[in-house]
Amino acid sequence: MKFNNIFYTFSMITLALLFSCNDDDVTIPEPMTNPPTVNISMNQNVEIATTVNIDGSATTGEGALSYNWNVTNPLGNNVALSNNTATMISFEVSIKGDYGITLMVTNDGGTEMKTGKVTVTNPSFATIDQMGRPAINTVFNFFGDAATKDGYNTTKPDGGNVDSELFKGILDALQGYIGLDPVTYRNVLGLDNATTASVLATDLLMSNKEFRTTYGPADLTDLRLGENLLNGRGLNDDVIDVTLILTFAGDLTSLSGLQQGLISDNVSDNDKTHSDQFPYLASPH
Amino acid sequence: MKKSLLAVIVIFSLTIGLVLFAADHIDAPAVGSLSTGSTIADITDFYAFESPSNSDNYVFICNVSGLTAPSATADVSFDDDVMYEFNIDNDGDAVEDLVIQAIFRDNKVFTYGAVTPENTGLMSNIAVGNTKIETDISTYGSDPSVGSSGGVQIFAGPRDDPFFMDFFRFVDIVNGAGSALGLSVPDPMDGTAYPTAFKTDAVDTFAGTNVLSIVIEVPKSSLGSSTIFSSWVESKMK
Repeated sequence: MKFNNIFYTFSMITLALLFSCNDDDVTIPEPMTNPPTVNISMNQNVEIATTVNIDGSATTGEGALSYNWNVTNPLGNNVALSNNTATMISFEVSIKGDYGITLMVTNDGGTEMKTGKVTVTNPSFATIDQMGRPAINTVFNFFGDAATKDGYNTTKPDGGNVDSELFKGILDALQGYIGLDPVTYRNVLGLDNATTASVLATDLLMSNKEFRTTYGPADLTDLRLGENLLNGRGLNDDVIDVTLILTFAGDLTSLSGLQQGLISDNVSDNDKTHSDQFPYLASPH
Repeated sequence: MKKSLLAVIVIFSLTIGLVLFAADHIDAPAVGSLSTGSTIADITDFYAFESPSNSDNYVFICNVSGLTAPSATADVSFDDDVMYEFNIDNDGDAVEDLVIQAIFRDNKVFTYGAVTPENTGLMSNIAVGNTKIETDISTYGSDPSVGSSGGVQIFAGPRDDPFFMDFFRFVDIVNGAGSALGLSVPDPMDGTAYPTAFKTDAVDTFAGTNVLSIVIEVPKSSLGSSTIFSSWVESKMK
């Protein structure tokens, strides 16, 4: 019984200790696992239409780590990720604003989370050159100074790229120079210089989807504006001859010797042949 | 070597005193001059035509960096800060209803459009559309790299300059008109009289030179429902 008493007393002491002390001191059977420390690295400011890479590989923790990414776009919608349990993710940003990033990493010790954001901007681009019809700035601003030429390149066609009086003055001068009367001049389309200038002063290329593209037809006796004349611009179109004909040829009847020498520059082809397959242009020299 | 080609032209032009080119090559000093050369923002020519390989499609071409000598072509490259924007007007008000944009990053070109732009006019933002098409920028001496998706094809890289003209003769003739008006213009090229006719043995000033090209082919149906449309192209800098 004495033994029993001793055992009993010991048991009571143990129980007392058990109940009076912190669990940790006594009951944890295995070494403790700490939860992971989550780290993400990324570019926080990017331009729209770029691919963003976010790297979670600097996350540390004991044992096996499982990753779980979530990305929301500026509209609050989830972004589809090709693999949302990888250590690194990448996705394309297509909306301006803040993308929210969340990475949760789990191990035996628990789950830790890190959040971040990627701010997406859409940069502004300002016009420095523009072109619709061929040779307009070169021909019609021929006598213009640097500011005139630079200025023309940063205009837009809405309301006209230029005061058409300027263009009319050039037409008048060129025709007067070779003995034509610019006041009575009518081009092959029957247009006087003021009308021609007002058309050209809005510098865009017109296209009719239902007719094959030609800037000017081979057969000058069959002219249909917007169909086979000034309908788009193809690679083989002799745009300089068309421009010269409109400027100097009048209605193409009874051409003077001077007119005949001015309605073609006598270069009628490119030095290389174009392909009939995309991208059409000949390989470089 | 581009310099050497330019040098020849500069010497030539000193005798005629000109600093501009056609169609729009080196047309204004802000984008290019004979002494500095044409820049990547200098639009030399714009083409818009029905596709030769598919009459349901339309092709837009913007050429830049004119008069590039063959030996210099490999050294000319697009700029990530310069976008090319093709503008489409469907209702005759000369304001773009749709745009096709070509943008460059990391030796690749990508395009959006035809898509309705966020803003019209001189300032543009990237018009992120439904379909982004991407391909490598083609390099000198290699086969063209073509990106394609949804009936759209894109190309960007060096090509032969398709423009042809006896430009110097044209200049000489027009200087005669300027002289007759009393303007200060260069002397006649032959030293005696301005010509009043083109030469029968004409010379293509642009033969043997290259440009950088952006070529985009799209279905006609993507350009709006109107039969007639207008288009123009801009180079735009960030």
